[in-house]
Amino acid sequence: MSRHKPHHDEPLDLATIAADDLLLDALGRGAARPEGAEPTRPGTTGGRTTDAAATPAGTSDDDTTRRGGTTDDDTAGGDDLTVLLAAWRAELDADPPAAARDAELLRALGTEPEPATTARPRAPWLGRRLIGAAAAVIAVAGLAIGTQHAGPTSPLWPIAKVMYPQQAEAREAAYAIQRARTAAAAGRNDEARRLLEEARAHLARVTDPALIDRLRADLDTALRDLPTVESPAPAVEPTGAPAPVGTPATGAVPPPPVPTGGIGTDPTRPAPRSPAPGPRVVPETAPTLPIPPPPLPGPSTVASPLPGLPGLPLPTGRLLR
Amino acid sequence: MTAAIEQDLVRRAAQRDPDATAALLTEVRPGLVRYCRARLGRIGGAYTTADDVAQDVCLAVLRALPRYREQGVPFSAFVFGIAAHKVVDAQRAALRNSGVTPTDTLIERPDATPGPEQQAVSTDLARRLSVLLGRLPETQREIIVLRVAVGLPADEVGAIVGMSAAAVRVAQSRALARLRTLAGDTLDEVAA
Repeated sequence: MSRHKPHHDEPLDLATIAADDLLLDALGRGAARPEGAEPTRPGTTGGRTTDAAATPAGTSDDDTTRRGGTTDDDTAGGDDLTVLLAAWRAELDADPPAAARDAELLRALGTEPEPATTARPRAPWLGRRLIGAAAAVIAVAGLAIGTQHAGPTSPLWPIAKVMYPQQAEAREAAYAIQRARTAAAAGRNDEARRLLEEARAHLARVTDPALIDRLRADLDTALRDLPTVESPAPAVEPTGAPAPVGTPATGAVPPPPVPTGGIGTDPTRPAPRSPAPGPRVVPETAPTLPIPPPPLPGPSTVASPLPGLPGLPLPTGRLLR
Repeated sequence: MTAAIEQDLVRRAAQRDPDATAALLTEVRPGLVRYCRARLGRIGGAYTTADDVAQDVCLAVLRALPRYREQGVPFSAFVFGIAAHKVVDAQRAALRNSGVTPTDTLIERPDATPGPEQQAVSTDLARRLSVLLGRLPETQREIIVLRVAVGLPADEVGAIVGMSAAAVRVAQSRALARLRTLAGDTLDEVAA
């Protein structure tokens, strides 16, 4: 037997590898029955035939082993090994632990707090993430919306200037015009003129033609209202008359909505036009006329950049009357 | 066996679905028990210790299930990676407690449990193979244990031991060749 001494150091050929793989697959399935191994006790060398006869399931694999893998010299040792492996595998399956251990395990798993911490966090963790993401989206959206309507007096104004530069310029212009009116109403004509220049500078950076038209109209009216050479001005706008009306207007709450609603869209259109058609009813309607258009009172109250705007029809109305 | 475990079952078991957990245990436990028995052998003549370790592994696997999906490995690799660690832990504990190597030394003790002749014979054969396995290089031994005792296909064994399926096939052939040599040697010894 010692002459069969093996050749495990020799290079392996593909057939041997394939045959060994098949053998191990079969052994792993538990195909070879251990009972077949019984006659081949250690010491008895007749393993091959008994093994093949007694293990119908494993026969083909043994055959493959013999055919492809091992040489004839080697078969005795190889068969013994197959028998040993089969017996080993079968013995590992002997006296399997009671199935009751599953229940024991499930109970242990069910009662212990640990699994709860590993399993449960999944949902809340995900939930927290989702809530966080939703909050972030809302915050960003809210910021965007708020910013879009933010005026120069709003805390969001710096952001608005970055996010909506066009609207920001327009709003700055409108704001300057409004302050110019207030200044003019208070008799501070120089300041008003300076503010109107400022508004013009802002206006130069606005590209939306509709906005430009409207703001230019505002600017022009404001300029016209200003006493350019001190003398003609009083004729158009007696500083004394609008002063009482204009100053309360700045402090008044109702006007604020107007400008913001008007800045983006048409509602302000009536404002410049109003002096002409609606002069008679002006005193009463002037404050109310601009109010209906503002659809966005909420955010715009903060901005309230043009409180002086409604003041515009007032003086003209007075004058006409 | 474990190769056939569907992801769906694993997912439901990870969510502590009792039926899925039970089904998963039914799939996994036999292989785990054989693995632990193969690695630890009979201690004190019985597989009680090995079976306890297997039970421990089952619990560890169930606890770790929520983590499984993130690892992207075959489920068997996940399970037997845990099992390998638990077995090593058990071996260390046994060494600490008794100062005796749990596997090889104890396996060579006579089986204390009396049984029918047939069982004694197959136990004897199994014990002989355990001794032979103990002489294999560690990786080869692990491959044979996973391929034969557990019954995993070569590619899944590769995922566990960190080799390609082809490399596993070469290594297992070398292991068998070596075992044949060793078996022949012991037969010679007996015959002599």
